Amino acid sequence: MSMHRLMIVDDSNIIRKKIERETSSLINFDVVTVALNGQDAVQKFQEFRPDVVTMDITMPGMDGIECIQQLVAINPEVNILVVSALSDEYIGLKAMSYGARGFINKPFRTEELLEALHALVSQ
Amino acid sequence: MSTAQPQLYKSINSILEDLTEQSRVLSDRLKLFQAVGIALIVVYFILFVFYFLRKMRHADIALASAHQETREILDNVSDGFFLLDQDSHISSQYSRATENILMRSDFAGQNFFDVVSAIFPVEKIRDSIKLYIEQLHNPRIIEKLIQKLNPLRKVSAQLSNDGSEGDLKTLSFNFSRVVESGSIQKILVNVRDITEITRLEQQLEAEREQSNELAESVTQLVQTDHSLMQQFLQHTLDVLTNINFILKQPQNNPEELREKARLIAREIHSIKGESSALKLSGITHRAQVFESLAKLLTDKEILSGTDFLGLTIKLEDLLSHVQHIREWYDQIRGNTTAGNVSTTTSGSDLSLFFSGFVHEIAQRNHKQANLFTFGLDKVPQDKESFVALKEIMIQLLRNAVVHGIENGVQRQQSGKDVGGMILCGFEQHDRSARLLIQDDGRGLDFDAIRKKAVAKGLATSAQVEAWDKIQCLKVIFHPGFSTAPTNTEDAGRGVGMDIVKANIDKLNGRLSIRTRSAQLTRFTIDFPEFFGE
Repeated sequence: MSMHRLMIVDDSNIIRKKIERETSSLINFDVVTVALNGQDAVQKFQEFRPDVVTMDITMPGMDGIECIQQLVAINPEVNILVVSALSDEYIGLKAMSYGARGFINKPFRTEELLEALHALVSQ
Repeated sequence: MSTAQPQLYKSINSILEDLTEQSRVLSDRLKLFQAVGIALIVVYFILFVFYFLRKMRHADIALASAHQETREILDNVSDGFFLLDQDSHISSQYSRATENILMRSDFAGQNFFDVVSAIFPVEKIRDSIKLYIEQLHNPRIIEKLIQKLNPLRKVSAQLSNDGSEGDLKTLSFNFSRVVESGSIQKILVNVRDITEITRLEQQLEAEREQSNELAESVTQLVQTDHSLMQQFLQHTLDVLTNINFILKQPQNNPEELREKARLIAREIHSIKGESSALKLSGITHRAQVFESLAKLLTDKEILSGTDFLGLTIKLEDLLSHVQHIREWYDQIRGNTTAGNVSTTTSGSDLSLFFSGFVHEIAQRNHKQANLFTFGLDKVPQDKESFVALKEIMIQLLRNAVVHGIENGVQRQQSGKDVGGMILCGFEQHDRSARLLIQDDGRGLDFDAIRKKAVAKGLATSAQVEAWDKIQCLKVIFHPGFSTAPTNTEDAGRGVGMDIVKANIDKLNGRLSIRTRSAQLTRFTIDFPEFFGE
C-alpha cells in the first residue's frame, strides 16, 4: 500500500482541523502541509509535493479555481478533491474542467470525505 | 518370319484391347466415384445451408424476442430512460415514460442540449449541463464524486404538449456512464417526475417549520405582557378579517384592483411590524410573504381579479396560523373567551415593548440604538385610539432605526456616540395630546427622496429640482414610497409612512417634521381633540 501525501487548502481553520483530524484515521494518508489560500497552496505544493489535495473554492486572494489550474500545470497527475459549499454547480464543474477529480459539499460527513479520498487514489 | 509377324500383331492387338477395356472400366469407376463425390458434396452443402438457415432463423426469432422484451420493458417502465452518444444525440430507443414525463415525442436522434434548452429556457442550465456531460466523458473524473454537481438533479419546469402554459413539474435527471472495453461510450440518462414526492417533502418541511415556529411562539407568548399579546392577536385577527372582506369585494376596473392591492399591502404591513416587535417569527414571515405578494400586484402592469387568488391562499395560511397561536395562547393563559381584550396596558409595558422592538431592529440592521420614553403611561387605553397611536409609534420608531440612525462607524466618524438615541414621548394638555418621536441620526436625505420620486415616476427630474423641503416631505407619505434600496423585514416596501398618515388622519392629528442634516429628525404629532369632551 503506497503512502499518499495530502495537502489541505482552506481558509477556515475549523475546516482544516476537521479534515486533518478525520484523515488521521487513514493509515495510507499523511497530511504533509496545509494552506490558507491559493498563493500559499501553490508555494507549498512545490515545496511538499503532495499527490492528493483537498481544495476549497472561495478563498481570499487566489481562489480555488485559479489554484487548481496552477497545481495541474505543475503536476497534471495530482488528485484534487474540491471541498466547498457551492450554491452554483457551474463553479464546481469549472473546477472539474480545470483538473479537479471530484467534489464534496460542505458541510460533509466523515465517511463522505474518507470515501471520496479513497476513490480518488484507487481509480 | 512371315508367319510370326501376324501372330505378334494379334498379340499386341489383344493386349491393346485388354488395356483399353481395363482403362474403360477404370474410367467408368472413376466417373462413378466422381459422381458419388459430387453428390456427397451437394448433399453436404444442402445440409449445411439448411442448418445455417435454421440457425439464422432461430437467431432472428431470439433477436426479435429480445427486441420485443426490450420494447416491453421500455414501454412499461415508469422512469424515462435513454442513451446519449458521444455527441450527446439521443438514442433511437427510449422508454415510453420519457415522452409522458417530458410531454413530447420526437426524441430519437435529437441533440440532448436542444431538448434541455426547450424545457429549461435558461442559458445557465444549458451551459452547466454541457459542462457536466463533458466531465462524465472525461475518464479522469470520478463519476460518483460529481453527482452533486449535476445541474438537473432536481429542477422545476413548466411542461405542456399543446403550447399552453402547462403544469409545473419537478424533474430529476440522473446520468451514468456506459463503459465498453474500458472506455466511456455512452451516457445513460434516467429521468423521473418527482413532483409528488417534492410536494410531500415540502409539506412535511412546512409542518416541521410550523411546529418549530409554534414552539418558539409559545416561549414568546409566555414572556410577553399579557394585555399587549391579547391586543395584538385580536387586532391581527380583525385586520385579517378585514383583508378577507376587501379581497371578496368584486372589482373589475384595473385601477380599483390596484387600489385594492395597495390597501391590502398597507393593512398587512402593520401586522408585520407588531409581530416583529413581539418576536412572533411565524406571523412575521407569513405577513412578509403576503405583503411582498400584494406589492407585486400593485406594481403589475396588467391586473385582473384572478391575480388575487394567490393572496387568498396566503391569507388562509396566515389566518389559520394566527388562530392556532391564539388557541395556544388561550390555553396557556387559561383564557377561553376569544375577543375579550384587556385594555390595561401600562406605560412601563409599552416602554419595555418599544425598547425591545428598537433593540431588535437595530440588531438586525447591524446598528446600536437606545430608546428613551416619557409619558407613555398617559397613552389612553381606549382601544381604537390606542391601536392607531401604537401603529404610528411602530412605524416611526422603525424608520428612526432603519433610516435615521447611522451604523457605529459612521456615527464615530461624525463624532457621535456609537449607539443612537431615540426619544418617544406622549404629553397631555387638557383635551389635546402630543406624540413626539425623535432620533439623533443622519436627518432626512432630501436628495435621496428626490431621486426616488423620479425613479418611482412621481415627478420628473426637472420638477424635483424645483422642490422645496416641504414638497419633499409630502412625497414620503405617498403610497409605495421608500428610499430603502432593498426589501427587508424592516423597510423597503414603501408602506409605512402612508400608514402613519392614515392613522394621524383617523385621530384627527397634525404632523410637523423637523430635520437637521447629520443631527436629528423629529416628528411631532398634535391631536387637538384627543381626549374629547
